[in-house]
Amino acid sequence: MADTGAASAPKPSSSVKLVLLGEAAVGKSSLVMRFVNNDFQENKEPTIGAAFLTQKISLSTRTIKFEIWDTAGQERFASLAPMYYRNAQAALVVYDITKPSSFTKAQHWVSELQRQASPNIVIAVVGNKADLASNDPPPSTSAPISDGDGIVAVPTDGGEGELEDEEETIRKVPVRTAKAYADEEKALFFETSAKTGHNVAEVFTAIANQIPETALKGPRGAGGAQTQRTEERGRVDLGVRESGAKEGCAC
Amino acid sequence: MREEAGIDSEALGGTENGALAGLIGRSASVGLGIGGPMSVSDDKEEGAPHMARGASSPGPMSPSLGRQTTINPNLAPGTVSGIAASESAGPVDWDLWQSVVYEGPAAVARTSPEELNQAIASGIPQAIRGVVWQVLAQSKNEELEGVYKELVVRGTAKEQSKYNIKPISRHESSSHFGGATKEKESIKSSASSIHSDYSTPATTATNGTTNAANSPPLDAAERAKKAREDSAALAKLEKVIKRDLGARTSYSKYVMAAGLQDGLFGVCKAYALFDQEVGYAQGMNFIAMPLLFNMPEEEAFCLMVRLMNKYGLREMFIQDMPGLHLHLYQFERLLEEFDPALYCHLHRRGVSPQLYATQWFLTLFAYRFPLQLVLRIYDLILSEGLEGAILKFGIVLMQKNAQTLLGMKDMAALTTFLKERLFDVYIDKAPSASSILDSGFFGSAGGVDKEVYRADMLVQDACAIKITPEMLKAYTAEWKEKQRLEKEREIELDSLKQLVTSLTQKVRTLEERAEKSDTEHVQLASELVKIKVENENLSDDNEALKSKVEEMQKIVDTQAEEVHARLQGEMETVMTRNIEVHNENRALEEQLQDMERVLVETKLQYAQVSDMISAGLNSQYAIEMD
Repeated sequence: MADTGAASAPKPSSSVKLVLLGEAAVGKSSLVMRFVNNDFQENKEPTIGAAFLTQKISLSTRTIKFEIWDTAGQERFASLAPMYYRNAQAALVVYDITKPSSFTKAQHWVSELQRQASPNIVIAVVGNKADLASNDPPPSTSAPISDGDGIVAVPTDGGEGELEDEEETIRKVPVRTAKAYADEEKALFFETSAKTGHNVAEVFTAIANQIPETALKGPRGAGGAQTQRTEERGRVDLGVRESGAKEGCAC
Repeated sequence: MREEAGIDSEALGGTENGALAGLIGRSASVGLGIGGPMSVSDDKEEGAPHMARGASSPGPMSPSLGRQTTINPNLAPGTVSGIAASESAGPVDWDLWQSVVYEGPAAVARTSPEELNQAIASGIPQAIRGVVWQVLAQSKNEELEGVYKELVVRGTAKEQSKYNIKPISRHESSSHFGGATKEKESIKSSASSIHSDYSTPATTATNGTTNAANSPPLDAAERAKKAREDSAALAKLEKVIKRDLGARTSYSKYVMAAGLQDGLFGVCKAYALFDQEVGYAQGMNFIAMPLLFNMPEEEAFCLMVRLMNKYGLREMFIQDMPGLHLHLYQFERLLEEFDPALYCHLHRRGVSPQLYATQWFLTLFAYRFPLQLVLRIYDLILSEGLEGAILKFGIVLMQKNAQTLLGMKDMAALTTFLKERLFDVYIDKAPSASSILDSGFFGSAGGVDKEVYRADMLVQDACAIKITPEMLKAYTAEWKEKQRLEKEREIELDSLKQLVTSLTQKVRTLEERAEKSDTEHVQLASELVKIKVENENLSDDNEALKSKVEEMQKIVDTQAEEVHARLQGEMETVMTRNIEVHNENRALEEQLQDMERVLVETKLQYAQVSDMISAGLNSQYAIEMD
């Protein structure tokens, strides 16, 4: 499906730069591999630096070519990340539903993106390894996040589900918590499994649909440039208005 | 294998004469190579305390060497290729290697630099590769090996028993170490750097632990808490490292790798504990693997420490990875200089070295490159220095693939090729019988590379790249300047950002105010209009009234005259009437007077008449009576 897209469809095609962020070993590379090659590899070697892949998806009105930048998750590589999310139009912030710390890290990434990335970036919060919680009881008490970074901690919402066997549930980040967080940040939310392929294509399709039409201008980076331009225009406007206001103030 | 080695050592004499090269069984020659130097060493030992330091006997060395011989067949292709390569370049010069091992590379470099470079470029014989590496790096350090053994068991049950003796043994060994260094220095001044390089991290580590051990006044509860925290952190570290073992690291396809996982874990854990500032970072595990293929884990640890501190690897792994960024920058500039067309091509397509060379540098090419090549890369890194070597290999690989890369337009294809296929140009399309044998193509156990690589050519090509220290220095300065500017710009940007936010705030309040003024203005304007309209109406009214007033005035004016005139007229008429009446009145009065006079006259006449009547009557009456 990937390679035939361009030849068969005369639909407008555009490139979208997408970056994957998230703690080490949450399955970023695996998600990409599932999406691009429909393949899964247990115990994949860690990404060093970053990887670059592309994949096209076909929507009803247009074809989108994702330029996927898969980053290394380990904390030490964090200083490399800005290089990759710069000008990105979409970001997949991935966490592992069995690891509360990875959800905390995801929240850090989301706020960093909101601070530093392009203002119109489409963010999807993705809880991976959903297969580990296949016979998942409804969200129940979960391990609190001990790191307490001052962002949203996974709540120990006792009482809600009242499940005694919390020891047995592998899931540590309740769907409800993550969904609420994503809603609050106006981000997309999905739980996926790179292993089974569950929801993987859906995430990318949802992102593709979410990318504003205006941000799509031809292939390769034009979209990024455009957002930059609008950003600049915004700044200029601000300046003009500001000086105007000053004049108004002066008289 | 040991048997083989034994057999070969019988042929020792032949080896020394270079007949070794003629042997077809390479693994056999390996055994021989070891046997050679070891047996000869007995008389040379006094002169070479460097290698035998601390142990004062070849004891500690022989097991490691013996082990290598044993594991050799498992080391499929790359590990033996050193020898295979050396064949094409000429027979292995065992004399040279022997003197490298026993006199140190510095001494050999003094007497025969050409030969040494040549020998290293054509590959260190696999059998002694581990030893030579350590000699080149001057990494052999028993005290550090002791540190390793302590660090590696930290958090395990074994630690308890060691804990008590640790400070003492530490002390002892460090003083011993100092002595050894002095001794060594007196013999080989050029090797003196080893002391300073090791002592810094080692002593800090020593101090750290000694303090912890020697501070009984610490509150028990506090200590327990600290211990708990420490063990939690340790457990976390171990978990992180364990996750990157096995299939998640390099060369796991080799059978031998499976047996090295404990060592890999040990080296990573010990290093992370040894150098807390660096800790464990992904990439180290890849670097450690080729080391572990060639030496026991404690020696690999020492070599790792050496690579980190003396070779500058540490700069690549500390926070923010300044070394990596520097090397990437140098690489980019060198690429621009050596192959501008390729540089432009990649640059235009957005394929920056960050994307592909990060993994080369952070793993010293061990991430994807075949072991056959990586070992040779390590040879050069350890003998020439890390910076120059990795840049040379990087550049030469780019040059060799320039045509292919220039033909690729797609960014994804380019990056994939740069990461996965760059080394294919060195595939030996027609490997000689001996190199196939060496590579383990036939038979030898374990997963193997399908290809035989012309590692010699790679090294030769890399050595032919002339990267001068001046160039690197210039690029480093450039990079530093760039960093500085970037930092300045960042600071400026930050302050600008702050300014913008404050200005935005201001603008917002001003906007609000302006908006308020606007509405007020509109209100006023509309009021004004209303008033104007009203005004106009009023003035119209006014006009009308004015004219009315004028009219009235006119009316009033004319009426007054009229009235006056009429009044006068009336008055006149009244007057005349009055006069008439007056006159009439007077006439009447006169008439009345006349009439009164008449009346009086009449009355008088009447009286006269009546008198006359009465007098006549009386006379008549008298007459009559008479």
